[in-house]
Amino acid sequence: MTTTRFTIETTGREGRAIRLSVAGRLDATTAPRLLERCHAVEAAGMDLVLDLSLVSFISSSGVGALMILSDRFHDRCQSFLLEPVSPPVRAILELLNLSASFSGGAPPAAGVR
Amino acid sequence: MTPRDAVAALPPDTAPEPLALRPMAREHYSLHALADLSRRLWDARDLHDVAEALVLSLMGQVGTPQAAVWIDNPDHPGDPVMLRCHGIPRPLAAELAAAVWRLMAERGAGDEAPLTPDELRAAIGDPALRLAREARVALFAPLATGGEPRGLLALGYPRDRWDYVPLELEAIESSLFIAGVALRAARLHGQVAESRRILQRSHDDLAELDRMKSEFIGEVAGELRTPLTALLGALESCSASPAGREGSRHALLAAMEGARSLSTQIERVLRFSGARHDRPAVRLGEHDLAAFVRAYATERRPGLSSRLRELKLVGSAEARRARFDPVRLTHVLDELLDHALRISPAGATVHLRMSDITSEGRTWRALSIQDEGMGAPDRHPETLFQAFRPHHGLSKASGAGTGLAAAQELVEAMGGRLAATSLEHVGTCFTVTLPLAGEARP
Repeated sequence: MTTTRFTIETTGREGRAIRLSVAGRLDATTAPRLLERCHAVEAAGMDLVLDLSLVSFISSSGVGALMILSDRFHDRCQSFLLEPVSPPVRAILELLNLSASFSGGAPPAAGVR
Repeated sequence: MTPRDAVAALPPDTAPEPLALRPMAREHYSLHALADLSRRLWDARDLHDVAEALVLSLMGQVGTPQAAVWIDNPDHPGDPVMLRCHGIPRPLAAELAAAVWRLMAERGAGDEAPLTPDELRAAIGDPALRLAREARVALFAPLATGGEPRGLLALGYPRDRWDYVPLELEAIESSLFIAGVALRAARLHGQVAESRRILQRSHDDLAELDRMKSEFIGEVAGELRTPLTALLGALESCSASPAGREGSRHALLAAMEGARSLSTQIERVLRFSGARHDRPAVRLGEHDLAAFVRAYATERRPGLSSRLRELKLVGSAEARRARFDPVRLTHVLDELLDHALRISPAGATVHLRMSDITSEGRTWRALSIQDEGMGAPDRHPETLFQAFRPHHGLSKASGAGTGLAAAQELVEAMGGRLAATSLEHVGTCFTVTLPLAGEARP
Protein backbone atom coordinates (compact mmCIF):
# COMPACT_ATOMS: atom_id res chain seq x y z
CA MET A 1 0.00 0.00 0.00
CA THR A 2 1.41 3.41 -0.92
CA THR A 3 0.80 6.43 1.29
CA THR A 4 0.69 9.87 -0.27
CA ARG A 5 2.77 12.38 1.63
CA PHE A 6 0.65 15.01 3.37
CA THR A 7 0.93 18.32 1.55
CA ILE A 8 -0.89 21.65 1.46
CA GLU A 9 -0.37 23.80 -1.61
CA THR A 10 -1.79 27.07 -2.79
CA THR A 11 -3.32 26.29 -6.18
CA GLY A 12 -5.41 29.38 -6.84
CA ARG A 13 -5.90 32.95 -5.79
CA GLU A 14 -8.36 35.54 -6.98
CA GLY A 15 -9.54 38.69 -5.28
CA ARG A 16 -10.01 37.93 -1.62
CA ALA A 17 -10.30 34.15 -2.11
CA ILE A 18 -7.59 31.55 -1.97
CA ARG A 19 -7.65 27.86 -2.90
CA LEU A 20 -5.55 25.38 -0.93
CA SER A 21 -5.18 21.82 -2.20
CA VAL A 22 -4.60 19.14 0.40
CA ALA A 23 -3.22 15.68 -0.35
CA GLY A 24 -2.57 12.60 1.79
CA ARG A 25 -4.02 11.52 5.14
CA LEU A 26 -5.83 14.14 7.17
CA ASP A 27 -5.60 12.73 10.68
CA ALA A 28 -4.59 13.68 14.23
CA THR A 29 -0.98 14.15 13.19
CA THR A 30 -1.62 16.31 10.13
CA ALA A 31 -4.77 18.21 11.17
CA PRO A 32 -2.81 20.76 13.29
CA ARG A 33 -0.73 21.60 10.20
CA LEU A 34 -3.90 22.25 8.21
CA LEU A 35 -5.22 24.46 11.02
CA GLU A 36 -2.01 26.46 11.17
CA ARG A 37 -1.94 26.99 7.41
CA CYS A 38 -5.61 27.99 7.25
CA HIS A 39 -5.33 30.30 10.26
CA ALA A 40 -2.81 32.31 8.27
CA VAL A 41 -5.42 32.69 5.49
CA GLU A 42 -8.05 33.61 8.07
CA ALA A 43 -5.75 36.18 9.67
CA ALA A 44 -5.17 37.73 6.24
CA GLY A 45 -8.94 38.28 5.97
CA MET A 46 -9.31 36.05 2.91
CA ASP A 47 -12.01 33.56 1.91
CA LEU A 48 -10.91 29.95 1.66
CA VAL A 49 -11.72 27.08 -0.68
CA LEU A 50 -10.23 23.78 0.41
CA ASP A 51 -9.67 21.23 -2.32
CA LEU A 52 -9.76 17.82 -0.62
CA SER A 53 -9.95 15.76 -3.81
CA LEU A 54 -6.56 14.16 -3.08
CA VAL A 55 -7.21 13.35 0.58
CA SER A 56 -6.99 9.58 0.90
CA PHE A 57 -8.31 9.34 4.44
CA ILE A 58 -9.90 11.68 6.95
CA SER A 59 -10.10 10.83 10.64
CA SER A 60 -12.24 12.40 13.35
CA SER A 61 -9.42 14.86 14.06
CA GLY A 62 -9.48 15.94 10.43
CA VAL A 63 -13.23 16.46 10.65
CA GLY A 64 -12.69 18.35 13.92
CA ALA A 65 -10.24 20.66 12.17
CA LEU A 66 -12.83 21.35 9.43
CA MET A 67 -15.44 22.13 12.11
CA ILE A 68 -13.10 24.64 13.76
CA LEU A 69 -12.21 26.29 10.47
CA SER A 70 -15.83 26.54 9.36
CA ASP A 71 -16.81 28.13 12.67
CA ARG A 72 -13.92 30.59 12.73
CA PHE A 73 -14.33 31.74 9.14
CA HIS A 74 -18.08 32.10 9.69
CA ASP A 75 -17.50 34.19 12.84
CA ARG A 76 -15.30 36.57 10.84
CA CYS A 77 -17.78 36.74 7.95
CA GLN A 78 -15.29 35.01 5.65
CA SER A 79 -16.35 32.15 3.38
CA PHE A 80 -15.07 28.63 3.90
CA LEU A 81 -15.90 25.90 1.40
CA LEU A 82 -14.80 22.36 0.60
CA GLU A 83 -14.73 21.91 -3.13
CA PRO A 84 -14.22 19.28 -4.37
CA VAL A 85 -13.85 16.43 -1.86
CA SER A 86 -12.57 12.89 -2.42
CA PRO A 87 -14.90 9.88 -2.02
CA PRO A 88 -13.43 8.92 1.41
CA VAL A 89 -13.99 12.44 2.71
CA ARG A 90 -17.49 12.59 1.25
CA ALA A 91 -18.36 9.25 2.88
CA ILE A 92 -17.33 10.48 6.33
CA LEU A 93 -19.10 13.83 5.98
CA GLU A 94 -22.25 12.01 4.91
CA LEU A 95 -21.93 9.59 7.81
CA LEU A 96 -21.91 12.58 10.16
CA ASN A 97 -24.58 14.48 8.20
CA LEU A 98 -22.11 17.32 7.72
CA SER A 99 -22.04 17.56 3.92
CA ALA A 100 -24.36 20.57 3.82
CA SER A 101 -22.30 22.40 6.46
CA PHE A 102 -19.32 22.76 4.15
CA SER A 103 -20.86 23.21 0.74
CA GLY A 104 -23.71 25.69 1.13
CA GLY A 105 -24.04 28.62 -1.24
CA ALA A 106 -21.92 29.62 -4.19
CA PRO A 107 -18.15 29.56 -3.94
CA PRO A 108 -16.71 32.94 -2.90
CA ALA A 109 -14.93 33.31 -6.21
CA ALA A 110 -15.97 30.96 -8.96
CA GLY A 111 -12.74 31.61 -10.81
CA VAL A 112 -10.57 30.22 -8.05
CA ARG A 113 -9.14 27.10 -9.60
CA MET B 1 0.42 -16.95 -4.47
CA THR B 2 0.38 -14.15 -1.91
CA PRO B 3 -2.89 -12.38 -0.98
CA ARG B 4 -1.59 -9.31 -2.81
CA ASP B 5 -0.99 -11.38 -5.99
CA ALA B 6 -4.43 -12.94 -5.63
CA VAL B 7 -6.05 -9.52 -5.48
CA ALA B 8 -3.99 -8.33 -8.46
CA ALA B 9 -5.13 -11.36 -10.46
CA LEU B 10 -8.82 -10.55 -10.02
CA PRO B 11 -10.60 -8.97 -12.96
CA PRO B 12 -11.10 -5.21 -12.44
CA ASP B 13 -14.82 -5.41 -11.79
CA THR B 14 -14.38 -7.94 -8.95
CA ALA B 15 -11.39 -6.27 -7.18
CA PRO B 16 -12.25 -5.50 -3.56
CA GLU B 17 -13.00 -1.90 -2.80
CA PRO B 18 -10.29 -0.13 -0.79
CA LEU B 19 -11.17 0.02 2.88
CA ALA B 20 -11.48 3.80 2.95
CA LEU B 21 -14.05 3.72 0.12
CA ARG B 22 -16.37 1.23 1.74
CA PRO B 23 -19.34 2.79 3.47
CA MET B 24 -18.11 3.15 7.03
CA ALA B 25 -20.42 2.27 9.89
CA ARG B 26 -20.63 4.55 12.87
CA GLU B 27 -18.96 1.88 15.04
CA HIS B 28 -15.98 1.72 12.71
CA TYR B 29 -15.69 5.47 12.66
CA SER B 30 -15.61 5.59 16.49
CA LEU B 31 -12.98 2.86 16.54
CA HIS B 32 -10.89 4.76 13.98
CA ALA B 33 -11.22 7.87 16.12
CA LEU B 34 -9.89 6.14 19.25
CA ALA B 35 -7.00 4.60 17.31
CA ASP B 36 -6.18 7.97 15.71
CA LEU B 37 -6.24 9.73 19.09
CA SER B 38 -4.08 7.04 20.72
CA ARG B 39 -1.49 7.28 17.95
CA ARG B 40 -1.35 11.05 18.29
CA LEU B 41 -1.07 11.01 22.08
CA TRP B 42 1.37 8.19 22.67
CA ASP B 43 4.34 10.54 22.45
CA ALA B 44 2.63 13.87 23.19
CA ARG B 45 4.80 15.69 25.71
CA ASP B 46 2.95 18.97 26.00
CA LEU B 47 -0.31 19.62 27.87
CA HIS B 48 -1.55 21.96 25.15
CA ASP B 49 -0.86 19.40 22.43
CA VAL B 50 -2.85 16.80 24.38
CA ALA B 51 -5.77 19.19 24.83
CA GLU B 52 -5.69 20.16 21.15
CA ALA B 53 -5.66 16.52 20.02
CA LEU B 54 -8.56 15.69 22.36
CA VAL B 55 -10.86 18.51 21.23
CA LEU B 56 -10.09 17.94 17.54
CA SER B 57 -10.90 14.26 17.89
CA LEU B 58 -14.09 14.75 19.87
CA MET B 59 -15.40 17.57 17.68
CA GLY B 60 -14.88 15.32 14.68
CA GLN B 61 -16.31 12.24 16.38
CA VAL B 62 -19.70 13.85 16.97
CA GLY B 63 -19.62 16.73 14.48
CA THR B 64 -19.92 19.63 16.88
CA PRO B 65 -18.39 23.10 16.54
CA GLN B 66 -18.20 23.66 20.34
CA ALA B 67 -15.58 22.17 22.65
CA ALA B 68 -13.45 23.35 25.55
CA VAL B 69 -10.95 21.72 27.91
CA TRP B 70 -9.81 22.95 31.30
CA ILE B 71 -7.15 21.53 33.58
CA ASP B 72 -6.64 21.77 37.32
CA ASN B 73 -4.23 24.44 38.52
CA PRO B 74 -2.09 23.00 41.35
CA ASP B 75 -1.12 26.53 42.44
CA HIS B 76 -4.77 27.61 42.74
CA PRO B 77 -7.03 24.61 43.38
CA GLY B 78 -10.59 25.33 42.30
CA ASP B 79 -9.44 27.81 39.67
CA PRO B 80 -9.18 25.74 36.47
CA VAL B 81 -7.05 26.84 33.54
CA MET B 82 -8.52 26.77 30.05
CA LEU B 83 -6.23 24.92 27.65
CA ARG B 84 -8.36 24.95 24.52
CA CYS B 85 -11.69 26.48 23.59
CA HIS B 86 -13.43 26.41 20.22
CA GLY B 87 -16.83 27.78 19.30
CA ILE B 88 -17.63 29.17 22.77
CA PRO B 89 -16.93 32.80 23.67
CA ARG B 90 -14.08 32.71 26.20
CA PRO B 91 -15.71 34.82 28.94
CA LEU B 92 -18.80 32.61 28.75
CA ALA B 93 -16.65 29.47 28.88
CA ALA B 94 -14.81 30.81 31.93
CA GLU B 95 -18.10 31.47 33.76
CA LEU B 96 -19.30 28.01 32.86
CA ALA B 97 -16.17 26.33 34.16
CA ALA B 98 -16.40 28.24 37.43
CA ALA B 99 -19.96 26.99 37.87
CA VAL B 100 -19.33 23.35 37.04
CA TRP B 101 -15.70 22.67 37.96
CA ARG B 102 -16.02 21.87 41.66
CA LEU B 103 -19.02 19.63 41.11
CA MET B 104 -17.29 17.59 38.41
CA ALA B 105 -13.98 17.48 40.30
CA GLU B 106 -15.66 16.14 43.43
CA ARG B 107 -17.20 13.16 41.67
CA GLY B 108 -15.60 9.97 42.91
CA ALA B 109 -13.56 7.32 41.13
CA GLY B 110 -15.56 5.30 38.64
CA ASP B 111 -18.03 8.13 38.21
CA GLU B 112 -16.58 9.60 35.05
CA ALA B 113 -19.58 9.38 32.74
CA PRO B 114 -20.48 12.55 30.82
CA LEU B 115 -23.46 14.50 32.16
CA THR B 116 -25.83 16.89 30.43
CA PRO B 117 -26.45 20.35 31.86
CA ASP B 118 -30.02 19.25 32.69
CA GLU B 119 -28.65 16.34 34.72
CA LEU B 120 -26.55 18.86 36.64
CA ARG B 121 -29.38 21.33 37.08
CA ALA B 122 -30.07 20.51 40.74
CA ALA B 123 -26.42 21.06 41.62
CA ILE B 124 -25.49 24.02 39.44
CA GLY B 125 -28.78 25.90 39.48
CA ASP B 126 -30.73 27.69 36.79
CA PRO B 127 -28.22 30.52 36.11
CA ALA B 128 -25.49 28.01 35.20
CA LEU B 129 -27.96 26.03 33.15
CA ARG B 130 -28.78 29.18 31.19
CA LEU B 131 -25.06 29.76 30.64
CA ALA B 132 -24.69 26.23 29.28
CA ARG B 133 -27.59 26.76 26.89
CA GLU B 134 -26.20 30.10 25.75
CA ALA B 135 -22.85 28.41 25.08
CA ARG B 136 -24.68 25.53 23.32
CA VAL B 137 -22.91 23.02 25.58
CA ALA B 138 -24.60 19.62 25.47
CA LEU B 139 -22.51 17.76 28.01
CA PHE B 140 -19.77 18.01 30.58
CA ALA B 141 -17.30 15.26 31.40
CA PRO B 142 -14.48 15.00 33.92
CA LEU B 143 -10.99 14.34 32.70
CA ALA B 144 -9.64 11.95 35.31
CA THR B 145 -6.98 9.31 35.76
CA GLY B 146 -7.31 6.69 38.48
CA GLY B 147 -10.20 8.59 40.00
CA GLU B 148 -8.08 11.72 40.43
CA PRO B 149 -9.62 14.76 38.73
CA ARG B 150 -7.36 16.34 36.11
CA GLY B 151 -9.63 18.44 34.05
CA LEU B 152 -13.02 19.13 32.54
CA LEU B 153 -14.48 18.84 29.07
CA ALA B 154 -17.46 20.71 27.66
CA LEU B 155 -18.85 19.55 24.32
CA GLY B 156 -21.53 21.09 22.12
CA TYR B 157 -24.44 19.52 20.28
CA PRO B 158 -23.89 17.53 17.10
CA ARG B 159 -24.75 19.65 14.03
CA ASP B 160 -27.62 17.35 13.02
CA ARG B 161 -29.42 16.61 16.31
CA TRP B 162 -29.98 17.45 19.96
CA ASP B 163 -28.68 14.37 21.71
CA TYR B 164 -25.89 11.81 21.79
CA VAL B 165 -26.30 8.11 21.10
CA PRO B 166 -24.89 5.63 23.68
CA LEU B 167 -22.04 4.61 21.39
CA GLU B 168 -20.85 8.20 21.16
CA LEU B 169 -20.94 8.60 24.94
CA GLU B 170 -18.86 5.43 25.29
CA ALA B 171 -16.36 6.71 22.73
CA ILE B 172 -16.17 10.10 24.46
CA GLU B 173 -15.52 8.44 27.81
CA SER B 174 -12.79 6.24 26.29
CA SER B 175 -11.20 9.26 24.61
CA LEU B 176 -11.15 11.05 27.95
CA PHE B 177 -9.41 8.11 29.63
CA ILE B 178 -6.74 8.10 26.91
CA ALA B 179 -6.32 11.87 27.16
CA GLY B 180 -6.28 11.76 30.98
CA VAL B 181 -3.32 9.39 30.98
CA ALA B 182 -1.59 11.50 28.33
CA LEU B 183 -2.16 14.68 30.36
CA ARG B 184 -0.63 13.11 33.45
CA ALA B 185 2.35 11.86 31.44
CA ALA B 186 2.79 15.26 29.76
CA ARG B 187 2.70 17.09 33.07
CA LEU B 188 5.25 14.73 34.62
CA HIS B 189 7.42 14.95 31.52
CA GLY B 190 7.30 18.74 31.64
CA GLN B 191 8.29 18.83 35.31
CA VAL B 192 11.16 16.39 34.77
CA ALA B 193 12.36 18.22 31.65
CA GLU B 194 12.31 21.56 33.47
CA SER B 195 14.16 20.16 36.50
CA ARG B 196 16.76 18.63 34.20
CA ARG B 197 17.15 21.91 32.32
CA ILE B 198 17.64 23.90 35.53
CA LEU B 199 20.09 21.30 36.81
CA GLN B 200 22.05 21.43 33.56
CA ARG B 201 22.19 25.24 33.65
CA SER B 202 23.40 25.13 37.26
CA HIS B 203 26.01 22.56 36.30
CA ASP B 204 27.21 24.73 33.41
CA ASP B 205 27.33 27.83 35.63
CA LEU B 206 29.27 25.98 38.32
CA ALA B 207 31.72 24.60 35.76
CA GLU B 208 32.26 28.13 34.42
CA LEU B 209 32.75 29.49 37.93
CA ASP B 210 35.17 26.67 38.70
CA ARG B 211 37.17 27.44 35.57
CA MET B 212 37.26 31.14 36.43
CA LYS B 213 38.28 30.37 40.00
CA SER B 214 41.19 28.18 38.85
CA GLU B 215 42.28 30.80 36.36
CA PHE B 216 42.03 33.51 39.00
CA ILE B 217 44.04 31.54 41.58
CA GLY B 218 46.72 30.78 38.99
CA GLU B 219 46.99 34.46 38.05
CA VAL B 220 47.07 35.57 41.67
CA ALA B 221 49.75 33.05 42.60
CA GLY B 222 51.95 34.08 39.65
CA GLU B 223 51.57 37.79 40.29
CA LEU B 224 52.27 37.54 44.01
CA ARG B 225 55.23 35.20 43.85
CA THR B 226 57.82 37.69 42.58
CA PRO B 227 57.34 40.52 45.13
CA LEU B 228 56.88 38.00 47.89
CA THR B 229 60.20 36.38 47.06
CA ALA B 230 61.89 39.77 47.15
CA LEU B 231 60.21 40.60 50.44
CA LEU B 232 61.26 37.35 52.03
CA GLY B 233 64.82 37.73 50.76
CA ALA B 234 65.08 41.22 52.23
CA LEU B 235 63.70 40.14 55.57
CA GLU B 236 66.05 37.15 55.69
CA SER B 237 68.97 39.41 54.89
CA CYS B 238 67.88 41.78 57.63
CA SER B 239 67.69 39.01 60.19
CA ALA B 240 71.03 37.44 59.17
CA SER B 241 73.14 40.62 58.88
CA PRO B 242 75.09 42.11 61.77
CA ALA B 243 73.06 44.55 63.73
CA GLY B 244 74.54 47.47 61.86
CA ARG B 245 71.97 50.20 61.38
CA GLU B 246 72.89 50.87 57.75
CA GLY B 247 72.56 47.22 56.72
CA SER B 248 69.21 46.88 58.46
CA ARG B 249 67.93 50.09 56.87
CA HIS B 250 68.72 48.84 53.37
CA ALA B 251 67.07 45.52 54.09
CA LEU B 252 63.97 47.20 55.49
CA LEU B 253 63.78 49.58 52.51
CA ALA B 254 63.90 46.57 50.21
CA ALA B 255 61.20 44.87 52.29
CA MET B 256 59.01 47.97 52.05
CA GLU B 257 59.55 48.09 48.30
CA GLY B 258 58.52 44.47 48.09
CA ALA B 259 55.44 45.11 50.23
CA ARG B 260 54.44 48.08 48.05
CA SER B 261 54.85 45.98 44.95
CA LEU B 262 52.80 43.24 46.56
CA SER B 263 50.09 45.75 47.42
CA THR B 264 50.09 47.06 43.83
CA GLN B 265 49.76 43.56 42.45
CA ILE B 266 46.88 42.83 44.80
CA GLU B 267 45.13 46.01 43.66
CA ARG B 268 45.66 44.99 40.04
CA VAL B 269 44.28 41.56 40.69
CA LEU B 270 41.30 43.03 42.46
CA ARG B 271 40.68 45.46 39.59
CA PHE B 272 41.03 42.61 37.11
CA SER B 273 38.57 40.54 39.11
CA GLY B 274 36.14 43.46 39.33
CA ALA B 275 36.40 44.17 35.62
CA ARG B 276 35.72 40.54 34.77
CA HIS B 277 32.75 40.61 37.07
CA ASP B 278 31.45 43.85 35.59
CA ARG B 279 31.80 42.92 31.93
CA PRO B 280 30.70 39.42 30.96
CA ALA B 281 32.98 37.55 28.59
CA VAL B 282 31.31 36.49 25.35
CA ARG B 283 32.49 34.08 22.69
CA LEU B 284 30.97 35.41 19.52
CA GLY B 285 30.45 33.21 16.51
CA GLU B 286 28.21 33.01 13.45
CA HIS B 287 25.25 30.68 13.91
CA ASP B 288 21.78 29.97 12.52
CA LEU B 289 19.57 31.92 14.90
CA ALA B 290 16.38 30.18 13.66
CA ALA B 291 17.77 26.71 14.42
CA PHE B 292 19.02 27.93 17.79
CA VAL B 293 15.61 29.39 18.70
CA ARG B 294 13.73 26.29 17.54
CA ALA B 295 15.94 24.06 19.71
CA TYR B 296 15.58 26.47 22.61
CA ALA B 297 11.77 26.52 22.30
CA THR B 298 11.66 22.72 22.15
CA GLU B 299 13.71 22.58 25.34
CA ARG B 300 11.61 25.13 27.23
CA ARG B 301 8.09 24.23 26.03
CA PRO B 302 7.49 21.19 28.31
CA GLY B 303 8.56 23.12 31.40
CA LEU B 304 6.34 26.07 30.61
CA SER B 305 3.48 23.79 29.71
CA SER B 306 3.76 21.97 33.05
CA ARG B 307 3.38 25.42 34.66
CA LEU B 308 0.24 25.92 32.50
CA ARG B 309 1.72 28.55 30.18
CA GLU B 310 1.91 27.89 26.45
CA LEU B 311 5.01 28.83 24.47
CA LYS B 312 4.28 29.60 20.81
CA LEU B 313 7.07 30.04 18.32
CA VAL B 314 6.25 32.46 15.50
CA GLY B 315 8.37 32.96 12.39
CA SER B 316 9.39 31.05 9.32
CA ALA B 317 11.79 28.11 9.57
CA GLU B 318 14.27 29.57 7.07
CA ALA B 319 17.87 29.94 8.24
CA ARG B 320 18.79 33.30 9.81
CA ARG B 321 22.53 33.67 10.22
CA ALA B 322 23.53 35.99 13.03
CA ARG B 323 26.49 36.80 15.24
CA PHE B 324 26.04 35.76 18.86
CA ASP B 325 27.28 33.59 21.72
CA PRO B 326 24.84 30.64 22.09
CA VAL B 327 25.63 30.16 25.78
CA ARG B 328 25.08 33.83 26.61
CA LEU B 329 21.99 34.10 24.42
CA THR B 330 20.57 31.09 26.25
CA HIS B 331 21.12 32.98 29.53
CA VAL B 332 19.34 36.03 28.09
CA LEU B 333 16.35 34.06 26.80
CA ASP B 334 16.16 32.13 30.08
CA GLU B 335 15.92 35.41 31.95
CA LEU B 336 13.29 36.88 29.61
CA LEU B 337 11.20 33.72 29.50
CA ASP B 338 11.42 33.19 33.26
CA HIS B 339 10.28 36.78 33.65
CA ALA B 340 7.35 36.13 31.30
CA LEU B 341 6.51 33.01 33.29
CA ARG B 342 6.49 34.94 36.56
CA ILE B 343 4.45 37.82 35.21
CA SER B 344 1.84 35.92 33.12
CA PRO B 345 -1.14 34.20 34.74
CA ALA B 346 -1.77 30.47 34.35
CA GLY B 347 -3.42 29.77 31.01
CA ALA B 348 -1.50 32.57 29.28
CA THR B 349 0.41 32.26 26.03
CA VAL B 350 3.97 33.51 25.63
CA HIS B 351 4.95 34.28 22.03
CA LEU B 352 8.56 33.87 20.93
CA ARG B 353 8.78 35.64 17.58
CA MET B 354 11.64 35.75 15.05
CA SER B 355 11.91 38.54 12.51
CA ASP B 356 14.32 40.95 10.80
CA ILE B 357 14.17 44.63 11.60
CA THR B 358 15.90 47.74 10.31
CA SER B 359 17.35 50.13 12.83
CA GLU B 360 20.21 52.61 12.87
CA GLY B 361 20.48 52.20 9.10
CA ARG B 362 21.15 48.46 9.13
CA THR B 363 19.31 45.15 9.34
CA TRP B 364 19.23 43.17 12.57
CA ARG B 365 17.96 39.76 13.56
CA ALA B 366 15.23 40.24 16.15
CA LEU B 367 13.79 37.93 18.80
CA SER B 368 10.71 39.11 20.68
CA ILE B 369 9.20 37.61 23.81
CA GLN B 370 5.65 38.82 24.36
CA ASP B 371 3.91 37.99 27.65
CA GLU B 372 0.33 38.42 28.81
CA GLY B 373 1.18 39.98 32.15
CA MET B 374 0.06 43.21 33.78
CA GLY B 375 2.33 45.39 31.67
CA ALA B 376 4.19 48.39 33.03
CA PRO B 377 2.03 51.25 34.34
CA ASP B 378 4.40 54.03 33.32
CA ARG B 379 5.51 55.01 29.86
CA HIS B 380 9.14 54.29 30.49
CA PRO B 381 9.70 50.57 29.95
CA GLU B 382 13.45 51.14 30.03
CA THR B 383 13.09 51.28 33.82
CA LEU B 384 12.51 47.53 33.63
CA PHE B 385 16.24 47.16 33.12
CA GLN B 386 17.17 49.10 36.22
CA ALA B 387 18.70 46.78 38.80
CA PHE B 388 16.75 46.16 42.02
CA ARG B 389 13.54 47.53 40.51
CA PRO B 390 11.06 44.66 40.17
CA HIS B 391 8.53 44.70 37.34
CA HIS B 392 5.05 45.98 38.06
CA GLY B 393 2.97 43.10 39.36
CA LEU B 394 5.92 41.28 40.89
CA SER B 395 6.78 41.41 44.55
CA LYS B 396 10.37 41.92 45.66
CA ALA B 397 10.22 38.37 46.98
CA SER B 398 9.88 37.11 43.40
CA GLY B 399 13.58 37.70 42.96
CA ALA B 400 13.15 40.06 40.00
CA GLY B 401 15.40 43.07 40.06
CA THR B 402 18.80 42.31 38.61
CA GLY B 403 18.12 39.63 36.01
CA LEU B 404 16.82 41.94 33.28
CA ALA B 405 19.67 44.37 33.84
CA ALA B 406 22.14 41.48 33.51
CA ALA B 407 20.37 40.27 30.35
CA GLN B 408 20.63 43.71 28.78
CA GLU B 409 24.33 43.80 29.61
CA LEU B 410 24.87 40.39 28.01
CA VAL B 411 23.05 41.39 24.81
CA GLU B 412 25.10 44.58 24.55
CA ALA B 413 28.28 42.56 25.11
CA MET B 414 27.26 40.58 21.99
CA GLY B 415 26.93 43.82 20.00
CA GLY B 416 23.14 43.76 20.16
CA ARG B 417 20.35 45.64 21.90
CA LEU B 418 17.64 44.64 24.36
CA ALA B 419 14.57 46.88 24.47
CA ALA B 420 11.07 46.62 25.90
CA THR B 421 7.63 47.96 25.10
CA SER B 422 4.84 47.61 27.60
CA LEU B 423 1.12 48.29 27.76
CA GLU B 424 -0.65 48.17 31.07
CA HIS B 425 -3.13 45.25 31.35
CA VAL B 426 -1.96 43.92 27.97
CA GLY B 427 1.61 42.76 28.51
CA THR B 428 5.25 43.43 27.88
CA CYS B 429 7.33 42.65 24.83
CA PHE B 430 11.10 42.32 25.11
CA THR B 431 13.03 42.48 21.85
CA VAL B 432 16.58 41.24 21.46
CA THR B 433 18.31 42.50 18.32
CA LEU B 434 21.51 40.88 17.13
CA PRO B 435 23.92 41.73 14.31
CA LEU B 436 23.73 39.77 11.08
CA ALA B 437 26.46 37.25 10.41
CA GLY B 438 29.48 38.84 8.78
CA GLU B 439 28.92 42.27 10.27
CA ALA B 440 31.63 43.80 12.37
CA ARG B 441 30.85 44.42 15.98
CA PRO B 442 30.00 48.10 16.44
